[in-house]
Amino acid sequence: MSEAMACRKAFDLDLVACLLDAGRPEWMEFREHYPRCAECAAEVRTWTELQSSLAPPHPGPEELIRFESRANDLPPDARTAIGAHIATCRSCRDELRALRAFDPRSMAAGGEQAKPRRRWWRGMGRLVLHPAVAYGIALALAIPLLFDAVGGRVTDKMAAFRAGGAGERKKVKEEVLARQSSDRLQSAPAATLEAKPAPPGYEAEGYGAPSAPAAPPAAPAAARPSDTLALAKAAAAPERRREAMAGNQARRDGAPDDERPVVVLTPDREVVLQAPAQGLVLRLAPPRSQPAVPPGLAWLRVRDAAGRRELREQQFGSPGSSAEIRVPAGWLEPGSYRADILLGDDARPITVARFRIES
Amino acid sequence: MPEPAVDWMRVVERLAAGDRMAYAQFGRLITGYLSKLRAYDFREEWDDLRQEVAIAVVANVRAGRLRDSQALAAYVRVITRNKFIDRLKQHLRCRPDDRLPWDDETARAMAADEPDPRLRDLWQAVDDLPEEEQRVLDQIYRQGKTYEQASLATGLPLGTMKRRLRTALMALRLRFGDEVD
Repeated sequence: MSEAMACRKAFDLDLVACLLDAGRPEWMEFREHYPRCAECAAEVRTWTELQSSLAPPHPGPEELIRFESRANDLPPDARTAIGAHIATCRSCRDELRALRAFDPRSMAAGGEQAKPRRRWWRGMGRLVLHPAVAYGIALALAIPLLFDAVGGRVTDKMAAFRAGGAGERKKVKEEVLARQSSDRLQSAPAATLEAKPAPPGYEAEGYGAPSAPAAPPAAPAAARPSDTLALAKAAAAPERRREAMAGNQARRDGAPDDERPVVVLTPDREVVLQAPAQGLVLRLAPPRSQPAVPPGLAWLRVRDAAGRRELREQQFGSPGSSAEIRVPAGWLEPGSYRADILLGDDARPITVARFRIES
Repeated sequence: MPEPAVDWMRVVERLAAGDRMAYAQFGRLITGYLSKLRAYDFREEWDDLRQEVAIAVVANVRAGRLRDSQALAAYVRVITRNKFIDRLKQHLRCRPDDRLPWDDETARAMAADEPDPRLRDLWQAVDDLPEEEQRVLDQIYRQGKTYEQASLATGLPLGTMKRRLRTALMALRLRFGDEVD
């Protein structure tokens, strides 16, 4: 039996006195103890509920305001009663203190500050600091050189791709993708360097686009060994971006996600998955301890272990239903991930689950 | 503490406009939750937490994410508990991912907006207790007196008065034990 299970502290001290006035210095040790101890925490909650059911009603907000601003207008009995209550009630003292410090402008200003407000230059600050920008600049410089080497081949194929039927498109796509994978460590084909706008929907909500599809780097014909990892990632990036966009487009078009496997995550165990070919749908239930969250207020977020790449999806399901997010295959590199549910602007997730993608 | 009849959307609209009464009403909602969480065991003042909650709620209402009164009260309940638990973990020098037993207990305490209706009969049950115990409970809980003041008012020595109080509460807990637990 663990030490916590055997703890008798809540039974050995005068818990009634402690809970009536836990702020006193003699209860400091127990105050620090009970949140960590299952036995004592349960006792404290039970006694708190009992004591709060016996406690006298608090003066109403109107009475508190009158007491604070025009105490002399109150009948003497009421004034004395409210004063006596406040002297022994910490929450009323707290309310009174807050009321005295209330600045009407702070609420209006605070609300405005907290409201997401997009400015075109706000994203620029983050962008300029991002290493991908360096890749992007190098890419812009390298395009003319690369075009001579591989661009011609690809543009010919792309022209055929546009002009041809579905069969031709498939063939060209397979050919290009096959060449991408074989050439990835030597050079990035021009087709993969095609600039695409970030998928809409992320930045508009103020959370930044999924960071996996970083701007591709310059790809010199003979890469140095130290550059190979960056090149490999960059070569795959536009592909991932296209998949992410396709996913978004499919959702906007109302296309079904039937082909994507649904993975139900739970906070108590890490799910291990093989890299899915079609991406996947992650599902995570809100904790039972949380009240139903109104639609539109919750977000399901997926982050990599380093916290550098993340996807978010706003949830519009019925209150209490599981949150879902569609994750494109290209975004899921082998590694560990964390999925969590966030509420509104609150940074603290209400539930967290983990999963791992194996190659 | 929180009154279900209150139109919290209207209160927040007035709060956003700088209305002092709305601030008092909204503050009551938050301090009600803080009391349930026993937050006052850890800090006498929670001005910053209250301010954070109020600003988050105003921002979410303005952004159209909160549209009805019940959803708003539920959100305030969730966010107040979450912010309090974050601070408690900092105070206790725990890691953010650590699960505290008190975290689970607060989830139970906050699960319902209203106290168990069966506990409303508690003062009726007090009438069945010995008179001396009734007087002690009255002094401490109804009149909000300190131990010393209650001891003077009842004429009971301090130690005796504490024993009476504990016996009375134990009897109530036994009677309502199933409901409370």
